[in-house]
Amino acid sequence: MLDFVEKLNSMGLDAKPLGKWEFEVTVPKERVAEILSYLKSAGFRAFMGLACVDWIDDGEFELVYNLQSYGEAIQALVKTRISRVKPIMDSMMQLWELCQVYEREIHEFFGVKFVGNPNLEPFFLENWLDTPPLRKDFDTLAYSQELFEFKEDETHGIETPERIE
Amino acid sequence: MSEWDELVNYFRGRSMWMLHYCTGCGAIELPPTMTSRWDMERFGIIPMATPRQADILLITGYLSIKTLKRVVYTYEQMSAPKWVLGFGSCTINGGIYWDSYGVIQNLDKYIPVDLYIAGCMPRPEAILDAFGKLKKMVQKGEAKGYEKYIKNYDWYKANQDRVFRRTEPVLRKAEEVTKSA
Amino acid sequence: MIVLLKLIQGIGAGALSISIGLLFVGIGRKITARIHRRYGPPFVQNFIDLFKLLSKKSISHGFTFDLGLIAGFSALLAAVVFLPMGQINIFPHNSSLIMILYLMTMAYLGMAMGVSSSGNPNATVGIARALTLTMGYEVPFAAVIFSVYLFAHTGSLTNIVAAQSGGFMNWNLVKLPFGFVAAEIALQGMLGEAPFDMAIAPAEIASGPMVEMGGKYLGFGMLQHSIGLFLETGIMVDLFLGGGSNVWIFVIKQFELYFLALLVNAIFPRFKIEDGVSFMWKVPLLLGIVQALIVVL
Repeated sequence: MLDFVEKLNSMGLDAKPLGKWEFEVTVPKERVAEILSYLKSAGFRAFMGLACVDWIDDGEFELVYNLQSYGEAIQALVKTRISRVKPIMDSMMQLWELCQVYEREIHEFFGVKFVGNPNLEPFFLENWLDTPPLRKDFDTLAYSQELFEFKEDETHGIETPERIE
Repeated sequence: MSEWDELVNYFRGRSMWMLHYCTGCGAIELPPTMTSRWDMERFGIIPMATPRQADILLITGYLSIKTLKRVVYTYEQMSAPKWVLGFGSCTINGGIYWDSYGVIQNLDKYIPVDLYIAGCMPRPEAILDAFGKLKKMVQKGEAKGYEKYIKNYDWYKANQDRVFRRTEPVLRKAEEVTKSA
Repeated sequence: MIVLLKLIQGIGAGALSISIGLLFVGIGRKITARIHRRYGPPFVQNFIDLFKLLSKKSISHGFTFDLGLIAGFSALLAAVVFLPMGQINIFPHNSSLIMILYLMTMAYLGMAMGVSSSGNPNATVGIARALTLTMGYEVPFAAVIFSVYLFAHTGSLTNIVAAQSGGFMNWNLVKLPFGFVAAEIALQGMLGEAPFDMAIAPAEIASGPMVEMGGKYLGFGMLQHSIGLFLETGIMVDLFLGGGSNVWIFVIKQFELYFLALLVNAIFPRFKIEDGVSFMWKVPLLLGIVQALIVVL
């Protein structure tokens, strides 16, 4: 595994091992496709998942591509940071068709646009009009109190039904 | 209540067919309730496959907005003497999903619940106890949730629409954030 | 006067078949529960369920839906009057066997017309499975009927019963053993008990034909099922177990057959529909043909 770390470091990237079976590499946004295709050709043929982390203080989203090499039984985490204000990223569908679903879900819950993904329709949420719900600035408690709970003074013009005893 | 109604209610209480709408983790408590350990068939309660045949709608767990829509469809498909059992704390006040953006909090606002079973999760004993209580309520003619639904349909419909047919963002502050971004 | 008497007798036979059928299912539920090591519902539970269903509000799905169900129900009711039940024999017809088989198929067709007009895909799948299975069990059953026909030289159930009188050794069960086994397997399919309960599979197609039937319609479905149960076991008793000297012995013999079907039902899983039909066309059909050959040669 250390060969991969050295090789990636020699490519001018910041790679470090995480324990015995895993390493992470931080990649600028433009080089993600290049590094992913290199890793794919080097044995990391399985795409395990794509995650998004909201670093609200840095004003950035972090996308984590999780790859697995079945031959050497190691995992690679490819991390990249994109701007939080205009979150746009290239789709990795030409490498793994599977990315389509993950990108669609991240678009739904974080609002990251993936250029090249043909279908970014909402997956789970129906009729969602607010900020994407997994962003850190989305107040989920206030949302649920507003939508699901009636306040005492707010009857929305409808009278409370009488109880049938 | 006339004597005929009393007779009908007596037999309705003895034969309640159940549709279990298994949304959450509560579904796992039902197989022991149905099978040989607790055996709810001895009270005349058997699981049914479709809402048309069922008398009880058992909601076992949390309901997201999408599932709530299906529950309302299911409830409205059932034929007239029908009762709803809310199962677990999720149907009472949201349970552990009390601050979730996707899970409704109080089932009673959207369809009339006749009886709640509190707990997370309720044991099969609690479920059987609830069936016993519901049976008594039915036999005394107290469980009238379906009549309440018809009578206050506007109120229930407004509550349902408030969740299903939002036309503007729920949080005004959030709207401003989106605009500034 | 005779017409009126026959009418009253016919109504009585219908009522008898319904109540016996309901009682059988009720006792059957108790027995199944005991096999599962449960306490089980009281044996009158089925009557309570029927009363509750008839007292519910129900939703019709159009004229064809109602007509189909009533056609199926009345076909079975008409078939009952041709069945010799112990000393009761309302219409001793010359070819009552063929008549009953024809009317039983009519019941299925009526039900198919009704439930497929409800528009629910599960109902259509369920009734398609029921009719396919009918095709499966009718063939071996026809082979059995053929051998009984050749053996007794008559198509009248009354004469077939009369030919078996005089003790256990005269029953067709002893004289035509292969035929009995084949008919017993076909009976399992007719009753819709496991492993041939694919038509009403609750977990896959939401109870199939009954999926859109609620309230009073489901009550009618229960009545139809109980008459069908009475009729199917009744034919078997007349064909193989020598009828009965009176109604109660007839009913006890019927219950023995139903009990056997229940035991199989309680421990078997479900066939796929194609496996069910191919099983029907292999084992019972072969037995039926062997029996027919034995009779002919």
